[in-house]
Amino acid sequence: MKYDVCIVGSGAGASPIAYELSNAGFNVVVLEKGKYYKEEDFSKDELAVSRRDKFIPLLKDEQHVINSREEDGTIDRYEGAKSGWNFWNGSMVGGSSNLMSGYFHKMQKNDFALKSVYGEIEGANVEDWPISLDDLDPYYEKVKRVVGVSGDGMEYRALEVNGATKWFDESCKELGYKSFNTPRAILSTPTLGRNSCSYSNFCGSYGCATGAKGSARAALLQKCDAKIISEAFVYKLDSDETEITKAHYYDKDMKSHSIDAKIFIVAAQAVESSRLLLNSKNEHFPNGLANNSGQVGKNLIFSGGGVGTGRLNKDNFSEDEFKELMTPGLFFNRSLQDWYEYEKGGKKYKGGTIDFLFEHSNIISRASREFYDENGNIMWGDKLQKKIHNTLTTSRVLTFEVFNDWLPTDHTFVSIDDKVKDKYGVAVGAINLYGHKRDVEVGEHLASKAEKVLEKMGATEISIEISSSPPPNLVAGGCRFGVDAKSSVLNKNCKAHELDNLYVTDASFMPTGGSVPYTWTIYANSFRVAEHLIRIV
Amino acid sequence: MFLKTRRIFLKKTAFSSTALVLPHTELFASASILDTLSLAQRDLYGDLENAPSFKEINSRAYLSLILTHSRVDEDSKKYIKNGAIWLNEEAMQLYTKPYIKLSSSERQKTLESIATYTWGENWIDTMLRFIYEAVLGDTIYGVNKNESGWSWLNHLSGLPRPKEALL
Repeated sequence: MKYDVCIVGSGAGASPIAYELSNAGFNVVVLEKGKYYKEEDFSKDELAVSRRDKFIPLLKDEQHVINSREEDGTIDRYEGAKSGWNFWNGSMVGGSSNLMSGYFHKMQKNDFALKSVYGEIEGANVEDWPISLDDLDPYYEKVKRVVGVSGDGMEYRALEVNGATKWFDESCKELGYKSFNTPRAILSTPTLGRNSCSYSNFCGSYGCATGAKGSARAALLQKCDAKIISEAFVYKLDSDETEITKAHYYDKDMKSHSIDAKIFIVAAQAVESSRLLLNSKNEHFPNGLANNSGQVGKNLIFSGGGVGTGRLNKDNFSEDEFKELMTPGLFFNRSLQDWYEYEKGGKKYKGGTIDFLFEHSNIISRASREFYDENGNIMWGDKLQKKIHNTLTTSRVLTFEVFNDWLPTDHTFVSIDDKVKDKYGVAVGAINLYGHKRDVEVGEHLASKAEKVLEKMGATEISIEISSSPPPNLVAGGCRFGVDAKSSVLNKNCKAHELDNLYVTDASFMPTGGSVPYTWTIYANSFRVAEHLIRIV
Repeated sequence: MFLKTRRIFLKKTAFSSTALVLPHTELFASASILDTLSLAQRDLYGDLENAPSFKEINSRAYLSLILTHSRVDEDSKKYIKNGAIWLNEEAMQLYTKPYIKLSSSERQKTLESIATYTWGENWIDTMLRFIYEAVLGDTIYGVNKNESGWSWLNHLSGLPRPKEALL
C-alpha cells in the first residue's frame, strides 16, 4: 500500500505532523527506532534509568564517533563504544520529549534575525531565519492548548511550587531582577484526556507515569490514529531525481521492509536525520540526499551555556522554613530573562535565559557527589558515611541552567564515519565539535548574574561550570532552512530544496537556536509545517 | 562538585579507561576475586551506628549482579576485577600477604596506599559507586533492605516504583 505520509522518527518534530494529518483523514505511518513504552511502563527506578541508561542503546550496538576540535586546530577522535561519549537521548516512541523536564520558553523576536540585529560574528555562520516570530507565534499558542503548557499567563494554571521560591523572588527584587514562574509542558490539572502531575519528585530524565508531561507520545501520538511501527530502524531512503520513493527499515529481528508514501518526513533527531540523508546516496545524489549543495550536516548547533549550583543550609533558616525547603515533590520553577539582550563595552550582545530548579532528586547521584573531601581527596568508611548523612539531611542544592546561543561554525557538523558500523551494518554518524569563544563569554556573563541571586539567598559552595561542552539533549541544525538553496538544505516550509516530497521537521531546520530550550519551538514549527502539508497533500 | 542537571554533560568516568589484564599469580590460590572485592567493599563502606548495616545493603550479591549485568560493559567489569588483582599486589608488597589475610588496620593502610595512585583512586571511586547503589537503590534489586538507606537520608522514593529489575 502507499501511505499519504511516512514519518521517520516520533519525537517533538514528528508527532505534530502525525497528529494533524491523521486527524485530517490522511493515511500516516510513523517509523520509530526505539520501543513503544507507555505510562504503565515508566517507574522512578534510578538504577535502571540514570545509572544503567535504560533509554539509550547499548553503545557496542549503536554509537557515535566524536571528533573534537581544539583551539590549536588538532582533532581528538572518540569512538562512543570505547569512550562512553554519546548523543542518544530517548530512543523510544515519543523520543526525548518523554524524558524532558518541559521548561518551555518561546524564542523572542530578535532570535529570528540574529544576523540583521546583532551583525556578523567572525568565525560564525549566523543567518536570519526565513520566518519571523509573527509567523510562528500562532503555533506556539497551539502547543499551549494541545500539548498543554502550565504557568502564569499560560493555558493551564501554574504547577505548585516550593515555599523557598518566595525567598528567591525577594532576593531577585532586592537585586532589581524580574523573576517569573517558568512555564512547563506539564499539566497542573487533569485535562486533554490526561492526568495531572503527581509531583513524584522525579521528572527530568524519567518517563511520566501519569501522562501529565507533554511528551510527543502522550500528548499527540496517543491521541491520533497514525500507524506507529516501533523498533523500526530506517537505514536508507530511495529517490529518483525529484522525489523520495521508498523508506527501508530493519525490524527488531533485522528483517528488512520498505514503505511507499507520497510525502516523507525525516525527524529522527538532528544528528540521525543528517546521518540518514548522508547514508542514502544514489546516482542522483552522490553526496547524500538533498545534498548537492553540500549543506546536509553542516552548522550543527547545541544550546550554549552551562550550569551552576549553590547549597542552602539548615543553619540559615528557622525550623519551619527549613522544613518547607526540604519538602519533596514541589517544583522550584523560576526563571530570569533580564539579560536576553545586554550591552557590554558599548556593544549590544545577545544574551539568554536562566532557569532555576532544585538539584535532581536522584539519591545515588547526590550521595556520589560527596565522595571527595574539600581538598579533592577520595574518602571512604565512617568519614564518608558521616559526610553523606550530614550534607544530604541538612541542606538542599539549588541549581541554575544558562541557555544562550551556540554559534554555528564551519567546524561543528555531522558527517559519516565509514570505519565504524552499527549493529545493522550501517556507517555511524560522526559529530564534529567546536565551540566559538563567544558562546562561553555570554554564558559566563549570565552565570555571574545567577551567582548573585544565590549569594543573596545565602547559598554556600557556589559552583559554576560554563563551557563549550555540548549538551546531548539540546541538539539542532544540520539541515537548516533558508531562502538560498546554496546555503541551506530546506525552504521555509522545511521541504528540501532539491526534492519535492522530502521534509525535515526535527530541530535540524534551525539556523540558530535562540537562547531557550528547543522543544516548544520544535513542536510549534512542526504544527506549522503540518498545516502547510494539509494544504498541499 | 555536585553539578548534575537535566542538561547532560560529557561523561568520562573511570569506566572509560581501558583495563589492563594482569596475569594471575599464586596469591589467588587463596583468595578469589569476589572474596577480595567483597572484603574491600566492607572496608570501604564503614560502620556508623545510624547508617544501614553492611548486611542490609547486600553489596556482595549486588556486585555479582553488576559483574553479569547486560548494561555494564565488559571493560568496566574487567576493570573492577583487575582492581582486586592490583589491590592484592599492593597488599603483597606492603605486608607479603594477600588482602584477605590482612588485619583490619593493615587493610585500611593498603587502601590508603592505593588511593595515592590514579588507578587506585579511580578504582575506589568505582567501588564506592556500586556500594552506594546498593545502599540507595530500589529494593527490587535485593539491596537497601527495608529501605534502610532511604530512611537514613530521609529520602522519599519517587512513584511508581519499578515492577521488575533491569538486569
